[in-house]
Amino acid sequence: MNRKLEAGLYKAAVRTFEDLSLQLPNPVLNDEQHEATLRAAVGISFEGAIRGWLILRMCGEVLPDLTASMLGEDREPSETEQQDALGEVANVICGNLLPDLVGARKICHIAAPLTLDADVQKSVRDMPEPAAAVEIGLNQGRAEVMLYIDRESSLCVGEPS
Amino acid sequence: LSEGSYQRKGFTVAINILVVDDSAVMRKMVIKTLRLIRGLPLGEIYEAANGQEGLKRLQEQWIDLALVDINMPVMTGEEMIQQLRQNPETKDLAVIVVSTEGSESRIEMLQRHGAGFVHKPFSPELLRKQIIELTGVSYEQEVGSGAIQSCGPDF
Repeated sequence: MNRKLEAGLYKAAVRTFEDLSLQLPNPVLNDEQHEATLRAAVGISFEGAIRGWLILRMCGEVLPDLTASMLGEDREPSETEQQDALGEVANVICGNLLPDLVGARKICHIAAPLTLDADVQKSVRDMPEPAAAVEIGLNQGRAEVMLYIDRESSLCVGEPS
Repeated sequence: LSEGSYQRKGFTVAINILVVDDSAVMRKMVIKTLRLIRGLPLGEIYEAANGQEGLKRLQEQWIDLALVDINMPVMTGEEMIQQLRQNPETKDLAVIVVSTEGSESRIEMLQRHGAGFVHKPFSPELLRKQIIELTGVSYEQEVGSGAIQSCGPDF
């Protein structure tokens, strides 16, 4: 995996969690965060100057708090709201990351977030190693962010500004 | 004049706003942010989940300002803006794109259509600044009274 790409992905993800959902991510995961099991996942495809996927997986009971924080409400958010919030977080991470990867003047079109069920996630596990992957500690769980880039479109990748 | 209201030519005006985003959570966040902006004279707030719904709302309601996401299913924000600019009734509508879009070229293209731009995630201050710039309404806090005074052109 490309270290510069990972650094760019980590920076984009942390900024998004901080600014969008007022979470305080921690880079070093504690035992509870390490052991948290997968609860929800979403994928976003993008194409244009570069083509690929960004996948965001949430492990542990972090999504309800994250969603409530985004909504600014104390109530328990619905499953639909939680999936919606997860998709929006992935969307913002992707939108913040891509200009750093391809250059500010190049255009990438980001597709709508897609909920990844168990079957899709299994096929994701069968995919080649991601170009970059990071883990971020969030309360009692963690977020896993993986970036897959189509090799044929990855000519300029690896030099984030 | 009560706190948080605008005054122009002796009249208090309220802005009707349309929020277009395929994410219901993001629409709620935008609306929550609008309500946090001190002094913004909110009228009715309408919602739409894509550009097509947004255009329909514009036909049905009087809207002063549209806050529009770009990447949406059915009809993108870009297409919506292009279409509303071709309609004599909506061609001069104030539009702010609220998006994760990071390409300078695409942002410049939207700005050529007369749209403002706010990058997600955004702060209330940034959104406020764009709204004031684009609608032409400006205001200042009157010392002591908390009232708002404006001097901008008509919408």
